[in-house]
Amino acid sequence: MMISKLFGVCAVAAALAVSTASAAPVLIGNSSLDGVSLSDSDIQAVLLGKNVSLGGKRVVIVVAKASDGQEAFLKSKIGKTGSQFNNHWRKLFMTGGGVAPTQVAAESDVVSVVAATSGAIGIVDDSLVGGLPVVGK
Amino acid sequence: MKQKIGAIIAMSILLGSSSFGAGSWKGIQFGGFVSQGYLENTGDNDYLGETSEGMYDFREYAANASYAIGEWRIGAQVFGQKLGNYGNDELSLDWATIDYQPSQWFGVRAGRVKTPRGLYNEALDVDSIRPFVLMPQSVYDARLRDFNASFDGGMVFGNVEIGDSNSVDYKLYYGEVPMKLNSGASDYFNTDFPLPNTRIGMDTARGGSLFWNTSIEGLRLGYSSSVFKDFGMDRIITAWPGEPTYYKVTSGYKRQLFSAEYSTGDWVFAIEGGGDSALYDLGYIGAPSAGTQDVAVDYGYVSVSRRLNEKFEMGAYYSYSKESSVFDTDENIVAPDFEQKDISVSIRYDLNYNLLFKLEAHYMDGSGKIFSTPAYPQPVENRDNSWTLFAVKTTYTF
Repeated sequence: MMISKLFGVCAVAAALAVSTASAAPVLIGNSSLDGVSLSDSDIQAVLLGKNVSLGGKRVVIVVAKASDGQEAFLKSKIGKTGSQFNNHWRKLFMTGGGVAPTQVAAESDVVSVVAATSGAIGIVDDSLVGGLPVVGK
Repeated sequence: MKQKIGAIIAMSILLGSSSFGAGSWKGIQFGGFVSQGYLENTGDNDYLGETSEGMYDFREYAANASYAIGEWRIGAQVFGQKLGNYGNDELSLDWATIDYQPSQWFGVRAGRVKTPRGLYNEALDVDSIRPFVLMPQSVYDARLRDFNASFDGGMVFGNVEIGDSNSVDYKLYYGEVPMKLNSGASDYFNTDFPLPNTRIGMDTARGGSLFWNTSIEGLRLGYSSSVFKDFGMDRIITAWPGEPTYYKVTSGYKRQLFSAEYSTGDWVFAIEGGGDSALYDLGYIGAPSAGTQDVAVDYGYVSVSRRLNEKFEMGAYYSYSKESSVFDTDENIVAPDFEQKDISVSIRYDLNYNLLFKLEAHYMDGSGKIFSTPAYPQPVENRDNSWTLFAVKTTYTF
């Protein structure tokens, strides 16, 4: 009886661990960016519009309108909340400093737009990556 | 004016909306904003317009388009405003640029370019990125908007990584600032002797900004500087026989500004301080110099803002400015110091991604930033020195 309870607890813990691991947000890229691997400072430069090309392609940033994973990734990699990230790009876009990210409804839309757009990158849960290259994590 | 704003709103609706831009068509991205405000103060001072009576002449609107391919980007924005006597709801080209950026550390931008100065100068019109209705007027005087906003010329820019999570953003520019006689700048530089300007301008403008993004997350430190070469103006003294033309010109009008911003969580702290200086040569055209005027303006502010939740953001600042003039002429001219302190509290409400409302209150100690112009005299001795200004504004961004 005790052994079966312990087994049950271990199974739940293992499931939670898998669940936690699968919730890790990553930066995916269009297939044109296959082979590109970005360091933290590279990710920061690209997401803030300071570096506008990768692998010879113009970077197109694709963001979901609301996503907990995206929020966590932005906070971790560029130190900005989603609201501050929006403000940063509104400032650039309205003052001639850059072309703003493309906004879509959900992470699943990020995947489809990134897949269809040369040079595109986007932040999604690693369970949604599919066959697209992961360019940063 | 209503037709212009209506056309801009119609375009935004037609193109749909998102948090960043109104939409795109064949890779061309569109966006813009429309804002309308109200200003009223206690007492008889008229600050940014006829604010003692309450003033609705406080609005801005803009529409832009951008297109990028490879290392190139082109874009332009038209802008209109009304701020008291300035702007007059005339549309003008705010920025129109072509960029070539082959690498992270080097890019070139040419055309009509937003002027880099301090933390917020390039984005002064972008209401949607801050809680304040009026930015600290000591550094970002709304009446100098045309003068501060952009220049015609070229700029090099880039971001240089210097190791250990540090990097430097640099922008260096050269060009000239187009100036109009009916602009706020024309009045701003005409407060010593309020005579009508018949010319105002400069030969060249040059300067730039340097920002160090430190390894302390959220902390950046900056320095901005600019010099306007052969900056000056001519005035006609209508009260004198023959209406002689009086000139005031400096070989270099110099500005500098030190900046620091720290962003942590939902908080943003900022502090900026600096000054303007110029040694003007004074006289009558065709006659020997009549003397000099040494002008020094010191200014600065400290601000804090906090995003409370998805809907609300609050902010507050303390702002200070002082302008002094020392004349060296045959006539014994003594100019008063123009000093003003401003304590401000703001709250912003976001109805949705696109529409926001702001409320703001200012307590003003001093009246040094009140204009006394030929068209609207407000002599120092007639001003209230302790007064309160209220501001309300709504902005639709598309």
